Amino acid sequence: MDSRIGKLYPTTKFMITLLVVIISIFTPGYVLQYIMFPAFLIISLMAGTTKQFLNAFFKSIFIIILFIFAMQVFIITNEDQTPIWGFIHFSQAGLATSLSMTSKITAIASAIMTFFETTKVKDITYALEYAGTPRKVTFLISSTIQLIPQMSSLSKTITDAQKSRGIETEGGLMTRIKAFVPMLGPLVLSSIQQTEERVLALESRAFSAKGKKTSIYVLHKTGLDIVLEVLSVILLMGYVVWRVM
Amino acid sequence: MKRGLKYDFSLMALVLIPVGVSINVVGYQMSQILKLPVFIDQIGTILVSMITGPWVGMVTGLLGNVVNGMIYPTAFGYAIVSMLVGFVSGFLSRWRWYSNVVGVVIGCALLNVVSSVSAAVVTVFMFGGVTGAGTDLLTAAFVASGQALWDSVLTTNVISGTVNTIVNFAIAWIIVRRIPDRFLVKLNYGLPYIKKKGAKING
Amino acid sequence: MAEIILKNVNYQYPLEEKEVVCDFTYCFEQGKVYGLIGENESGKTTLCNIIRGFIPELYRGKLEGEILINGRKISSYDSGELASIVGYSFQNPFVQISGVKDNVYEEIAYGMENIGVPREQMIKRVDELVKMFHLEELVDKNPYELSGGQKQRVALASMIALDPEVVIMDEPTSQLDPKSTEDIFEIVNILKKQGKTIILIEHKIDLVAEYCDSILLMHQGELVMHGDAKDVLTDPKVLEYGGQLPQIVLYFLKQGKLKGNEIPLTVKEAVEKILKEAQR
Repeated sequence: MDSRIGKLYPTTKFMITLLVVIISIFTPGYVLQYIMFPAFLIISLMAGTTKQFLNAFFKSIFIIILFIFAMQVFIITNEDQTPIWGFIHFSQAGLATSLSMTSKITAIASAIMTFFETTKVKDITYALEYAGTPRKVTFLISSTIQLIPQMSSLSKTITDAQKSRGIETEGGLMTRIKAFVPMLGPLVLSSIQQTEERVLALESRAFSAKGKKTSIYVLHKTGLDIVLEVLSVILLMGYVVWRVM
Repeated sequence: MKRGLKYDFSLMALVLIPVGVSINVVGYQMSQILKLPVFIDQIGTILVSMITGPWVGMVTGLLGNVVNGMIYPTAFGYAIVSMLVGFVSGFLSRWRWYSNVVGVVIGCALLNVVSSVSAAVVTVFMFGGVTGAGTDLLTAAFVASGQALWDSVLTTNVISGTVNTIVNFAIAWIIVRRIPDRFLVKLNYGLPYIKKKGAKING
Repeated sequence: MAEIILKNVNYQYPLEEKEVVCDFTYCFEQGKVYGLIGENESGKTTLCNIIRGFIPELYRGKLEGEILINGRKISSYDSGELASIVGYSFQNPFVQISGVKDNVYEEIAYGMENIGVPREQMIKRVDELVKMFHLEELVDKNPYELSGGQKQRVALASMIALDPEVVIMDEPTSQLDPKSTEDIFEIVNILKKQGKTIILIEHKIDLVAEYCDSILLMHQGELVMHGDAKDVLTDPKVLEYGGQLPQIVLYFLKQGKLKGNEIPLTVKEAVEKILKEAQR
């Protein structure tokens, strides 16, 4: 997140992402969209987020792409299918649909993943607030992002504690099912009850105060941000004009 | 009874939203650790919708998918499913459907239908009928047997959804029953779950 | 200038039949440190919740009587306004962090951000508070990862950041070790010197005797005794109402030689007294 790309203002990156998404959806064919994958891979390299990018991509998107091909080309009945074996057949139309669909998914997913991988949530909430998003909304985002890892590690602690009390976590299905509620229950109940005090704590920090808020954390747009934003807008307008013609 | 959004989004409800999302995540992680064959990732949404109403429930569902989507963008597509689950469940709670067995059964069935249909829409139109999970094999089997893609996906969803919805709901239900009364009183929708018989709410 | 006036305040929690605070009437003056003592369930925390406005807004229930802060009815204050007038610190340090910020520096500033304090002012104030509360090494840490004592100090700093005139502390040291307890009471002293009104709920009666000017004793929801620390904490009637007396006082009472407010409240006072006697 400390790379040149990481330091770009969130809105800039958002506009670029949006541009890519729009272009990917509305351009016919599939080559341009597929190219987005290596393009964003290169961006990830520059931003130092290659590992996350490839990890997330292959864990989710890649599998979906494979399955789409399998489903559309070999299994779904189309008019032009040529049987191969049993219910498996080959369909040219299916292939075309797959290419179109998967290329779009690849491009859009690559863009979105790269955006979130190179932008700190803190920066996103700052940019949102600066743009006028109400505090309650950014509160939800910040609070959730912070709370999840806390609850996660807390659940591990509780799991270990329950295990030492004799709750079985291995074995038959019934045993494992019976272990679930005692493991999750205490965590949920205690976090729900803490909510009460957390509300009081937030009130003590003037959470409900009306009026303009300020921020001790600042983020500035650099010259590069402005250049990229202007470029994005120009490209978008150019693209729209080109498609309409 | 007319109730505005402001009424629903009290500070108490607002603070419960991150808790609900975290419960979704932790529930899912735990089910993975225990290698349970069910998708237990909606406990938080349902739980929160029960005690804070449909709109807050809907936001909980949405936020859960947004946070997930930051790592795996496909979650963004399915946000509508979580939102609907939270929304419908909240209304069921508000109309006190969860207070008796018949209501619970019908409610669960309704939730299953709602989530199955909305998920099917996303799966078919965004992802060509696949989800990347094991259930795709079931879908493929249906398609191979001659059914249209849409029907196959829907059937798969309804079948796998039945168990999922019931488990998610049951756990949320068990936990809600254990929440102490004095906490429920502070919530605008907590009344149906207060255990003290004939309790008079002062003020 | 009178700060907080309560007149005939009654309060009943929703779902409860008994009143938790009965006919409470008192006037808290500016600049004094008040010790609120009494056994558990005597209504101390409830009373403070009322003063802070958490009751009835968040707790609901039936509240009767008049509560005036700086001459205005408490209900006329916006809840955001109240936060900068009456600060509140809780027993449990683990739930006092906002959960919104990922480092202590911004955590302290959060309250000020919410009321719109300009950035330069915030930076100045946070730096002041970090020094006052000895938080220098913790500034970059995630608030979730602090120990109980550290969380309590950060929470106090965050509350003081809003510069409230009144500070309510509900058993701030109950979950802390002796060193952290010392730190907290050092802070009470600093606040006292700044002229703030402090209402302290504490069971550590020896510390109450050392730091508080006035004592309020609550028993079953009623205000049964009140007055200067010297008068209240040397009166054996306190024990009948479920309150405690400082060790030194108990000793001297048993001895029987000294009476009333001749009895020293703290070890320090006792030593001074003995030395004075010895000089005579």
